[in-house]
Amino acid sequence: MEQNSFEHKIQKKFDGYQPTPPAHVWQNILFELKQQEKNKNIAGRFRRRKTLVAAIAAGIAAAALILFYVFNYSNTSHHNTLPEKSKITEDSSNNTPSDTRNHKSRINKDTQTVFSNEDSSNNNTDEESARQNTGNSSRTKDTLKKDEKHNEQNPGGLPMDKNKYIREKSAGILTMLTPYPLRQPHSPHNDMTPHKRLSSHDNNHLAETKEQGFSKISSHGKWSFGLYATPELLMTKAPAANTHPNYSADFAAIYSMKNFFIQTGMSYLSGNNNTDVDVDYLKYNFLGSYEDVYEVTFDSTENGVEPTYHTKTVEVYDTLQKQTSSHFKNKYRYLNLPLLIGYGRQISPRFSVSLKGGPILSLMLKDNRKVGFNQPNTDITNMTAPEPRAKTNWQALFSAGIEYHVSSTIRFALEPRIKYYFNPVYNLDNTIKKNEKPYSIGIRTGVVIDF
Amino acid sequence: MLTEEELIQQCLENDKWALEQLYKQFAPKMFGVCLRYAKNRMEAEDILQEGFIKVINNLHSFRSKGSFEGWMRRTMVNTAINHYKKNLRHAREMDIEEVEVENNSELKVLDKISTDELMAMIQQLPEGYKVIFNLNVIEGYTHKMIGQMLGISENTSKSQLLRAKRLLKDKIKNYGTHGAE
Repeated sequence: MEQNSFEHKIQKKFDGYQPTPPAHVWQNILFELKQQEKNKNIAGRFRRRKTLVAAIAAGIAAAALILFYVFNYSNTSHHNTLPEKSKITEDSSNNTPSDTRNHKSRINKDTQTVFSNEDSSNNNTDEESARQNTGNSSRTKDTLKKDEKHNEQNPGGLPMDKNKYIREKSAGILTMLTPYPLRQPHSPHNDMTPHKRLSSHDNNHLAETKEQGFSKISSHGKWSFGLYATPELLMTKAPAANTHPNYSADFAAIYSMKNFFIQTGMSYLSGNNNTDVDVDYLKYNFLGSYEDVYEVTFDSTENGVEPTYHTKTVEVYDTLQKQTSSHFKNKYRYLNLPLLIGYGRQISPRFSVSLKGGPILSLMLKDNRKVGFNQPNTDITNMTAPEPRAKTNWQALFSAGIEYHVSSTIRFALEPRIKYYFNPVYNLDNTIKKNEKPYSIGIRTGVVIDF
Repeated sequence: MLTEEELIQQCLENDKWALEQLYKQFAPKMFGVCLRYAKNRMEAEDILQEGFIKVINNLHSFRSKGSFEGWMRRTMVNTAINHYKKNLRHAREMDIEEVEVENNSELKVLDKISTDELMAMIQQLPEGYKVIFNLNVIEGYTHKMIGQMLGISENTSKSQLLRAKRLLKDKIKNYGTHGAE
């Protein structure tokens, strides 16, 4: 009982005990909160940067891997042909009439532009094959010997009798495989010596001339770099607007091999939309304050019982319902990382056309949505805010382009393009998301420099 | 005038004005709590600051089912306990002489002393005693709960509370004697 009385008195003493903390405590709290917010932003920025760096690194790694394989493949096939070319150079110089069994083989190989010599076992098979084709082995040998003699007399040119022989005896099969020199026997290359004709440079030149016409695209692969500007229109079913203009500045690195190329790089895209923000809010107008007595205690003193009034300050506000409507332009910034594969062909000395397509990873760098309402002593009851956009988006791009060759190294490009978005641009609710199939159309213009 | 619920909602939207209002409304009460657990005013300010930041950061976890003030008070008490635990290894253990309670003279003195004076006496209690005294006598926690909160046995809590009360009574009596002189 005594204990309870002691405890009860203590409790009562502290009932309504509200000492005022010093003002600097609130200042410290505010400072701490600001620091936390700052740290949070830094952490968020760091996370975003980490994602960005990881994405860029992944893109570069993927592009490098593909280019490595492509380049490696190119080098491998190039090295495989060189020794064979050397062989044929030696063979041609030591060509004798008795070497007729290799001759037929060479004719067949010539038709495939490989210029390889073959071992005797293969040649025997080829010879038998040739006999079957001609149906008369002795005549074949005679004809071949004749051809050899003719070749010795005219070593630079391709054997005309051989052509005749091919046309006569193997037209159905061999003509299909006939290389460029056979179709154009009066080419200036026919006047070359065997050494010259079979050198790797000339051989490549012949192949390029035949296959590419005036194209500068090399079979070894080459690098080009491009700078572009692209205006485009984004079509979406977002509530704010149906079309949104986007503008991008692109840097592209292009690795071409023969008629195919791989393109990567990065592009900085700026997009915007217009939204109307309607805000219903309550405005609190400060009218004044009063001291509210929430407890009265009575203490016995020498002068008798004295009341103590415990009060707290109550502020009085007048509440007004208000509404405001504002028109805002929201801006968004993205980094786009493409990885495109394409096919290009020169159609005239000055013009070339190309088709390309591939995925693009789009990362949002900045979301500058404006809510536009920041008034003190207010309470927002309803607000139509712009929908947030997705932070990352995968897109598929298809583009057809035409290029004008200003010089041997500089080209102007014009590329109409269409982008299909795999994810909705806006974070919409599921019902809208299902029907949301955004796409964009644009025209890319720029300059490409070959190295 | 905003209701408590509306004020919390605005605080959740990170409205600085609402946060200040929340502070103004509850800081004096919570400061009173902090003072009881602290050694001095400065430490109480630290606990209040730390506790209030915890309240703001964890505002989203508050369920409107119970009293907000109660929730905030519990947060403050927990902060104070954490503070106590943090400083425990540095705390100077005091030898407490057993004080026999011979009569209830302290009750009469207690009526005469102000809350601030009583607060000063509680603050002078050894750390462990003070925390258990506050938790049991003022906050109303059972010894079982105190044991769980502080990581001590129920019996330890009981014996320390007994000692705390004896010490406090002694202080009050001494105050009465000093005051009578």
